[in-house]
Amino acid sequence: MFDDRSPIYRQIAEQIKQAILTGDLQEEEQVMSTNQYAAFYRINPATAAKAFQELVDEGLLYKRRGIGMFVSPGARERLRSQRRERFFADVVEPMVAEARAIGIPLREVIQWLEQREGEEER
Amino acid sequence: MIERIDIDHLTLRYGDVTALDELSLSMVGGKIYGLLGRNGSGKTSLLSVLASFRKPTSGDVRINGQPVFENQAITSQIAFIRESGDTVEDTEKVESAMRYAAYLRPNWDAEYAARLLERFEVSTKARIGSLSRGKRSALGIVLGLAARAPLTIFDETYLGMDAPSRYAFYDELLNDFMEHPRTFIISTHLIEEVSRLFENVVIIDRGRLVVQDDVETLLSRGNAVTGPADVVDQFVNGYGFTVIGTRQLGRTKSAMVYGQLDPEKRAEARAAGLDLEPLALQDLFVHLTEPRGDQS
Amino acid sequence: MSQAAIAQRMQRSWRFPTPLVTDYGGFLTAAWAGVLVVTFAGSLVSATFFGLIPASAWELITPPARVYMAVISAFVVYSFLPLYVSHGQTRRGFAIEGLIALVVHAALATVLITLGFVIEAGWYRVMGWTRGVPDGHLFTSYGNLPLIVAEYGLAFLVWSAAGAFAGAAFYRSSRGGWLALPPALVMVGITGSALGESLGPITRFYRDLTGAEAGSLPFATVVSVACILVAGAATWLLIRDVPIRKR
Repeated sequence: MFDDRSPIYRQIAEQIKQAILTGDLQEEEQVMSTNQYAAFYRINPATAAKAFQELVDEGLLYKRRGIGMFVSPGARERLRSQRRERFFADVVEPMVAEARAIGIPLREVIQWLEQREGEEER
Repeated sequence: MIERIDIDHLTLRYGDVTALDELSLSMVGGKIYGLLGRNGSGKTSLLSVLASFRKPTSGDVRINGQPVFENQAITSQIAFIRESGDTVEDTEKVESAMRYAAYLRPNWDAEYAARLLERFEVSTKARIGSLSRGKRSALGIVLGLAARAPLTIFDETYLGMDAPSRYAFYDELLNDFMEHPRTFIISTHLIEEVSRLFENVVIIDRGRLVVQDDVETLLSRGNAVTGPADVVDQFVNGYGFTVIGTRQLGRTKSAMVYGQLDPEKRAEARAAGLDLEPLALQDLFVHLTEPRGDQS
Repeated sequence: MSQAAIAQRMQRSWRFPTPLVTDYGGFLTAAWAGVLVVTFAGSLVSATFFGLIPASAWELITPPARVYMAVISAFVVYSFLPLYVSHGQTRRGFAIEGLIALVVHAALATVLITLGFVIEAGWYRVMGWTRGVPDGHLFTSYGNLPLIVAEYGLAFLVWSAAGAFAGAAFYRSSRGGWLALPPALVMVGITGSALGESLGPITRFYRDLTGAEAGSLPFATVVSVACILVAGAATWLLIRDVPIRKR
C-alpha cells in the first residue's frame, strides 16, 4: 500500500488512517502524541507533527487545546468513501495492467471474480 | 535560548589551507540539524568557529545577533563535543570530569549525567585514559547532553561505539530534545542511522555550502528516474532537471535528479513508462558532494 | 522570559574556592605534610647514622618547591584552558579564574613553607640542634617570619608566572613552548638574583648590569613584580585567541 521509501510522515499518516479504517482507532478517541510517535519511530518530532497536520488538514483528526489530537467524528466514513473513489484507479488498474503483461485475459479475471462472489454469497 | 545563528562569509585558513571559504548560512533555534560533508569538507572547522574554539580568519559568526568569539553570554550557551569530548587529563577519573562540568556548566543536570553514565556503562571511578574508544565517546555524549546547553553540538561523537550504544544515544538525544527543547547540530558520517532525527540538513563541501533544507523537502527533491535511456534523457532534459548522477544497464538508464517534481510531472513520467523512486539522504549526499573532476 | 532573565539564568554561579583552588591547594597541603615528615625523618637518620646535622633540613626542599610551583602553573594553563573553553567559558574567564587559583596556590605555598621553618624550629629545639641561615637570603634568621614570607612569596609568584607563560606557549605549539623556556628561565634567574641567591653567571651578569647588590627587599620586590607583569602579559597574549585543538 505505501512505498517503503516515501517520506516517513506519510507512512505515519497512512498507519493512522489504516487504524481508523479498521476501527483500531475509534472516532473521538485520543491519538498518541507526536512525541510518543517520535520516540517510537526514532524520528524528529517535527516530522511526526507533519503527519498529524496532514490528517488535520484532511479533517480526519482535530486538536483539543492542551489535551491532544482526537479522531474526528465521521473520519472513518470519509476515509472509506475516499478509498472507494480511488479503488478502481489504485487497485483495479494495476491489476489489469499486470494481467495484461503476463497474458491473463480479462475474461478470466472476471470469471474468477464471479466465482469469488458466488462463494461469498453462500 | 538560541533564536538564530547567522554565519556570514566565514573564512578560516590554516596557513595555505582554506578550510572554510566564504561560507554563509543561517539557522533558527529549536531544531535538530544534521551537518553533512566528506572528510576534510570543513565540518569540524565550521563547528569550531561556531563554538568559539577558533577565531575566524575573516567573516562573521553571530548568535542571536551577537558576535560569538570570546563572548561569555553566548559561549556559555554552547556545548561543543568533538569526537570524545574534551575534558580532564587521561590520568583523572570520570568523576573529576563530572565535577568540573558541574562547576562550569550553568544548566548541568548531575542526576541526568549519572543516569546516562549508568546507561552507557561508564564507571565514575574509571580513569579517563583507561576507557575504550567507545566509552570515551559515551563520556562525550554525557558531557554534551547533561550540560543542557541551548546549543549542543556533537561532532562525530560515536567513534568506537557499537550499534546498540549508538541507538541508545539517539533515543536519549531525542527524548531529551523533546523534554528540554533546544538546538542541536549533529555532524556524522552515519547518515542512514540518524537522518530521521534531523529536521534540517546542511551539506557542505570544500568549505562551501552545497545545500541547506528541511529533510523532507530535500528528500522530496531527490529522485531516481529509471527507464529506457532515450525516454529518461528526454524527460530529464525537457524539464532542465539538475542531474547529479547517472547509471546505465543495457538500455535501461537511471538518472538521479535534484529538483521539485510536482504531481503533473510525476504523472507525466509515469505515463511515459518511467519509474520514479525517491533517493535516500545518503545517496543524495553522496551525489551532491561527489568529486567531479575539475569542473569547479 | 526576557533577554535579561535568560542571560541571568545562563550565568553560572561563582563560588569560592573554585575547584582549581581546592584541588591544587589540597594536593599541595597533603604533599607538604608528607614532605615535612620525610624531611624530619631524613634529618634524624642523617644525625643518628652519619652524625651529620643539616643546617636546616627544610631549607633543602625549597628549590624543588619553586620548580613545583612552575610545573603546576604550566599544567593548569595547558590542561585547564581547553577544559574551560570546552565547557563554554571564555579564554578571558579562564585567565581570571586561573590567575586567582595560581595566586592563592602561591600564597598557600608561602604559608606552608614558612610554617615548615616554624615547625622545624620546634623540632631542632627538641633535638637540641642548631640551625644557621646560609647565604643568598633576604633574611638572616629563621625567626624573621615577615622576611621569609616576603622572599618565598615573591619567588613562588615569579616561578608560577614563568610556568604559566611556558604552559601557554606549549599549548600554542610545542615548538613555541621550547622557545619560551629560555626567557622563562631568565625571569626566574633575575628574580633569584634580586632575592639574593647565587645563580652563577646570571647573578654576575645581573650585578654588572644593575650595579645593585642583591638582597634588599624593596629592590627585589620591584624586580619580581616586573617579572610577574611581563610573564602575565605574555601569557595573556598567547592565550587570548589560541585555537582549542583536539586532545
